[in-house]
Amino acid sequence: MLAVNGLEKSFSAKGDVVRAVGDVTFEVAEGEMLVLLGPSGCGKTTVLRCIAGHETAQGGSIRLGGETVFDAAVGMDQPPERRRIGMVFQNYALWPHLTVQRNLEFPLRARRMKAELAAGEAIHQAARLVDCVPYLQRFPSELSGGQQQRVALARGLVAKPRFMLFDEPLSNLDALLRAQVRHDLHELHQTVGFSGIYVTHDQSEAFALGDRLAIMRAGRIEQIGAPQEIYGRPLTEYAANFVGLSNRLVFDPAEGGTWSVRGGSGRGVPVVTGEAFDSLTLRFRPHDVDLLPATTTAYDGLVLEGRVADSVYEGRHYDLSVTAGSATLNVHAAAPEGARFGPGDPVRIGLRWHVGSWFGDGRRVEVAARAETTST
Amino acid sequence: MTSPPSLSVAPGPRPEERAPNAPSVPVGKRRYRPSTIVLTAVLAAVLVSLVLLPIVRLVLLALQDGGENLARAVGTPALARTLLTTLLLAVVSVAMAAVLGTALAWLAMRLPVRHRWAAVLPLLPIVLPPIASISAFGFLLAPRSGLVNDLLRSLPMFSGYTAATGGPINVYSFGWIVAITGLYLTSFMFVFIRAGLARVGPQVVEAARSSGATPRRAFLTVVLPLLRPSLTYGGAICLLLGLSQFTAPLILGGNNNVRVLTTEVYYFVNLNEYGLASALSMPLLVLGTALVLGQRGLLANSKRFASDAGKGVQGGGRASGWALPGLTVYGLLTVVVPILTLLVVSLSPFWTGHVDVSTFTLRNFTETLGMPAARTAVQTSLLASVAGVLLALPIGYLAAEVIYRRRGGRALSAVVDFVVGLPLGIPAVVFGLGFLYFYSQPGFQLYGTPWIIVLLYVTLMLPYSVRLQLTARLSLGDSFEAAARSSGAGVVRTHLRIVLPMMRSSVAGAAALMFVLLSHEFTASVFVRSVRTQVMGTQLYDFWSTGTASKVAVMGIVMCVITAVGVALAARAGSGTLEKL
Repeated sequence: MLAVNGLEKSFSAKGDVVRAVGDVTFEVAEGEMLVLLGPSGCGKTTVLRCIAGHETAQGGSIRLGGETVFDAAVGMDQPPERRRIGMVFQNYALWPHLTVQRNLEFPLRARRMKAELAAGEAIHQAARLVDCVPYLQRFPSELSGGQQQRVALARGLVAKPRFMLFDEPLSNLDALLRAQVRHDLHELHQTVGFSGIYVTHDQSEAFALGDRLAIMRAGRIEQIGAPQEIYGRPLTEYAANFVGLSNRLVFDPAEGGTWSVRGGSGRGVPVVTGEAFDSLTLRFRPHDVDLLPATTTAYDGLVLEGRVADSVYEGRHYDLSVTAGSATLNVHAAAPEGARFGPGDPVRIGLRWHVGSWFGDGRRVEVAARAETTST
Repeated sequence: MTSPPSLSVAPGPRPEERAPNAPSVPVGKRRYRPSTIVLTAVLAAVLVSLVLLPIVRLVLLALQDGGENLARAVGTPALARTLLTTLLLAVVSVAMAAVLGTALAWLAMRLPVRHRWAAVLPLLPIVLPPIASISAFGFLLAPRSGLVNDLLRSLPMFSGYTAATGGPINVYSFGWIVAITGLYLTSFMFVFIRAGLARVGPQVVEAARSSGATPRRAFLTVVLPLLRPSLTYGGAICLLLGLSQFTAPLILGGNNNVRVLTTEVYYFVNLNEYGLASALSMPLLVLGTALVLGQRGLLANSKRFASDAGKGVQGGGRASGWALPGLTVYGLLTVVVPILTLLVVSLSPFWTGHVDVSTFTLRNFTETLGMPAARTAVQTSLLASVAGVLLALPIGYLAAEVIYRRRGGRALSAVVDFVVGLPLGIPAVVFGLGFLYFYSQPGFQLYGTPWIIVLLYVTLMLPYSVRLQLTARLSLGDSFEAAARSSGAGVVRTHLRIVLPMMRSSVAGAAALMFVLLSHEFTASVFVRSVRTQVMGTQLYDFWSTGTASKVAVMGIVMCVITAVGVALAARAGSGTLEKL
């Protein structure tokens, strides 16, 4: 449906040249929703605007529905109105001087879809899709934020475009509303089956709405794949951070080919890597950690000694802040029977071998554990 | 413990490989569509012919034959005295305006909440027709027939003066011309200082007061230093305004031979000595261009075309009891008194300086407005003003589009920005002369037609049209346009159905403001007018020159009424248009 190839875009601001998008290549299949995920400034919005035609890239090509809409090499740049897309903006961009009905009619008029206009059915269908039929004669200023965003959705879909572009549409909504509209969007995608690109900085949105995710950083795509793939196997520390592996432990080489926790005094961890690294970083989620009883039993994983800095008891779980070596870790785990954790208490935490991701030089490293018993 | 399932030993895959030898792409490569090129070319043609050609022609005239005209200009009698007078007038009036303007801005900031409306008072003189208000001051302070002198002479301490020898005040003197000019420039300084005070903010002053400073000390040691940028920029612009003062020296300076550069230019034009006139206008042209070049951004900034933070400054510290009286006095002096004077003179059957209410009559109005010349002047004024606005708006819209969108590249939009600012920086006298000289040439021969007036008006209003519409575009933002384009609308439909309707109130406000400024234009109009094509301002001047006070007053009242209507429209149509000045 959409094929972006080698997209390049730079801006010059006050004499400096900023490479906003560098050599971005990806495809979106029919009916697929690709999410561009990244912090502000990573280039995701620029990519979107280049696809929409509001920005002109300096290099690369864009093919939409089998048609080339942009190709730097031959100087081809189709204006936005001819690309037959639907776009939903962060600040809704509903035209305040037109009623909701006229807002919805605008794309049909502009594209000269007289038949649909005359029938009137397309408008009602679009309004029904987003549950906005009662507001048709109102002006945007009379609607709430959530209602406006839904009208903006309907406007993007009303002319049945071949491709949809979403530019952080939920950022301006409060948390409750965001969840609701996100759910509606997901349903919409299932029902209508449009192909589209969704830009956001919110991980949960990305996971909820994307068939595939592309994590962007400094104008480039760091990793692209299905949510499960990225969730389970982030390829870089940057990506790992984005999918919730917020705990970070740095290991320095120790004697006997082992690695010891930086700032820690415990025994070395026997892991082996294929390459030599100056240091290794282990990343894992708060939920991935086990709280181990003081008396040791065999544990198929990494064991760390630490001290509790802060603890919140939640009945079945503990929310702990643990210092291990020079790192502070967040642990969210079930408490062993009869255990109590107060500030200053020692604690043993365990992380199974296949859980967590190891990184060397910022990129994913596959490690193997030595075949020996790990005991205290 | 069994070993965990063996995972691969090799290091993980790298993120997307960089394409080797990726070409570094030059920034700013663009492809232009035919419609863009056509529109830009049209705009360029219009700007060149309206702004650049007359100016360049003047410069060429001044420099021709190895600068012969310049040499002759230097040799004109009493040139040194003229230059000195010009300089003194400018410097002293600016100094006066700086002090008064700062005081008024300070007072406006400390108005009690219920009197916030008074903050608009110092702005009103800007919209009053100068030719009318200066004539009014003439009626008030003329030595023999002046109203004030008449009143003063009835006081015991001035019993030495009689109606024959002339009363204590002589408005035709250099001192009074400076005073009146200073009073007028105060309004402009007020705008700059008020903007500067808004940037300073009340907290800084409150901090000083809490630290023990009296209001006076707080002002002198905290506020004044922080106001230095505003004083400098405002001072520079007011200096240029002072140097290009024309109406006051022309109307009031004739009697005592008070001559300035601008009146000299006019004098030589009347003698058909265009070469000398253009040479004499060169200093003003050069200064004005330098100002536009050097303060292009600041001109936009200082004039506060961007919307202000509300009327006056919110919560400007503790209210002062002096605020309302101070502002009211200024408003009375510069607005109410002149208008009342004109009213009194227009209703008096014969003006001697002595007011006798029992003789008030409307006869002057019927007589004056019954004169074909006067009626034609009003008509021409209105038509030329309307035409000027109607033409200036689309040109300004186009120019704002080029500047805003940087269509055609950064260089072009910078050039357009500069050219469009020239009619504001370069004095109107120079443009009047340039238009007269250039467009009365064979090939154009627009002299004697209303068209030369219309074209001149369009040119004079270009800076306002562009700046006000550009501000509106900026505050509108990109997304509404982008949404329309993504919905399938082309450029034309987007502008007609989305951008323009959303800018409605700003455009209306700009139109009303430009109409006001054009309807009381005099300085440039006096150069391009002819016997049959007069505007209200020039007709008033003719009446003044022939000494018919009542006709002058009637004309002045008519101009004030039209101005008032325009201001009311501006206030209604565009909220805060007056503040945007």
